[in-house]
Amino acid sequence: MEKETLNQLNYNININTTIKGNKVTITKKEILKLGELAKIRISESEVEELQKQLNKILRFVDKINDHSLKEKDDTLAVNSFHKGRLRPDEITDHPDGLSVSKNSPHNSESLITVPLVIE
Amino acid sequence: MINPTSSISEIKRNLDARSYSHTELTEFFLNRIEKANKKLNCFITISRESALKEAAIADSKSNRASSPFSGIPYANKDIFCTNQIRTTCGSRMLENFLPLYDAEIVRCAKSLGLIMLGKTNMDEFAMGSTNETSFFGAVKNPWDLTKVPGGSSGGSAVAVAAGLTPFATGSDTGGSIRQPAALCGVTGLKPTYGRISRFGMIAFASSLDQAGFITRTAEDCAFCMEFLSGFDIKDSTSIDITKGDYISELDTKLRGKKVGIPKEYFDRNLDPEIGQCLDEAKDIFSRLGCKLVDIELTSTEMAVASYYIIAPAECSSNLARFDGVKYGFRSKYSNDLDSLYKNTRDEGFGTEVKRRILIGTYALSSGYYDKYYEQAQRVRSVIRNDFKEAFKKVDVILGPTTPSTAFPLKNVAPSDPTELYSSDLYTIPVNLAGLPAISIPAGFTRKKLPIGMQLIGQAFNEHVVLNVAHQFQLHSEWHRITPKFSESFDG
Repeated sequence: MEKETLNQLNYNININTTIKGNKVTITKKEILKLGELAKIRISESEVEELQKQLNKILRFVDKINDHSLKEKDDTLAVNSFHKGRLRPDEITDHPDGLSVSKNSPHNSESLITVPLVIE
Repeated sequence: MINPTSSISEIKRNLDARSYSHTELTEFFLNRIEKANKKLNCFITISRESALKEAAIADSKSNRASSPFSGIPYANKDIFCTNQIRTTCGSRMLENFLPLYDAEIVRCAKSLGLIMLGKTNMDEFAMGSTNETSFFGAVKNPWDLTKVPGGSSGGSAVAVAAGLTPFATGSDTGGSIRQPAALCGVTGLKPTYGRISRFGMIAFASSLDQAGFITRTAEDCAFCMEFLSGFDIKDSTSIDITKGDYISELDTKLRGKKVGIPKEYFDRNLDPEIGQCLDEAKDIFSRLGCKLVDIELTSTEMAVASYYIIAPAECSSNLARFDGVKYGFRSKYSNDLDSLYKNTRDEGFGTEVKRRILIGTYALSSGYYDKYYEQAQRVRSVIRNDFKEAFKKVDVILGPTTPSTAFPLKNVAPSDPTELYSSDLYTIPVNLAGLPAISIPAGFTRKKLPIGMQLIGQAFNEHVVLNVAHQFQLHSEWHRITPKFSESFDG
């Protein structure tokens, strides 16, 4: 698990959320799994409170499944004004490498330093 | 004598007439900010040095023809990147972040000669309706220091309400300009999605986020739109559609305009005192020759639920960039890359932000994507169609901005995170549909708390919304009333 990349995890997720009376509830194990996916440390002591809160949110947002939508509205079309477009493939101003590396919390001259990745 | 609540055009007239210099004006506002901020906490960074430098340059140039907006002081919400000036987004994650470039709106303001006074406080990463989620502490409402100013652009709304700046920028994802404007008794405009560049505005939910303005009047908003909106190739959602003539159209008479009144916006959720004030506002529009038309926006109640799936889903993706590597906060307690990511994000983000990232991750996960994210997008289409139908009958829609007035500040986070979700009931549908809307002062409660009225327009019809709002302000005095609190900072 630790060595998998975030991308792989996103595709591999298989959360077995329990369904009670058509309402979804998240288990403690799933909370920890979400922490793994979102790369946020969740301690054992936080899990119970988070579980209560996320379940409250899920009950709240579940309203959207209470309504059956009319067929004509059943669309995922984007707003007609917003069509994708490409920028011209031209080199524009960009910050120099040294300024960029200086912005990192840990740097060495023009390099960003991180803990050892490959042993 | 400088008046802290002057309109932009009054300030400009006084600068042109040399009633005061740019430096005197800038120093006047900086001094007020420094005194007031101890109580209100509405600024995270005060940029005294750079502001006075810009003012001195403006003074030295004042013989030459300058831009019509030149020399006006203003403040930026701390969500907009400012080159080598700290930009925090209200988060520990960016506590000491110095951007390498200006956001487009900041660049544009600078090129017009506007003078930035500082960066205003906000809910962390714009996630909140009270300003209490800021890492830099809660902001207080100048009308009652025990009440919240609203959020997430609470610092900007308070700064304008307390006469600390003529106007401020804001961002609105679910009501973050309009709701604090309503709770602080000022004017707040969320333009159409795509009307103002978001380049350099730190992303929360990209299909909803929109930059806008908090001002004292609709006329001042028109000035901001005239000079700071428009197409930007650097923002892929920016749209190249001709701008309206915001300033000259303010004076168009309203006779014959159709104003839609959605019954869903005046139901049991609405505080009766707000309903009463809006009835008086409707009477003013009737007297101005408008026709009030009953309309239906039947999906209003589903909007909030849909928003609290779409926004966290997009936030979980956007905020993945904060990993402690390239910029921002990095946890000291890590021995490998994975623990560096996890500890950095655990320590760098606040409770509300982490909760939204987790719920967004859940909504996008395999097996739940269809049930939540896709269904929420379908609901979004229904809401957009509701508005489309309504605008076949009316020119503008009138409703409350918020269901209640400013609520009490709390020192602890609510145990039920959904407690405040419904405070954005009337603002969220507008973001889901990408429409322009303005909140303007429409009265006060018996306890002297401001009430906001929302006017919603068709896409890219900011000129209509501003015209209707301005005509209302010509026939009402609510926007001229300022909190007593601000009087103690003169001089």
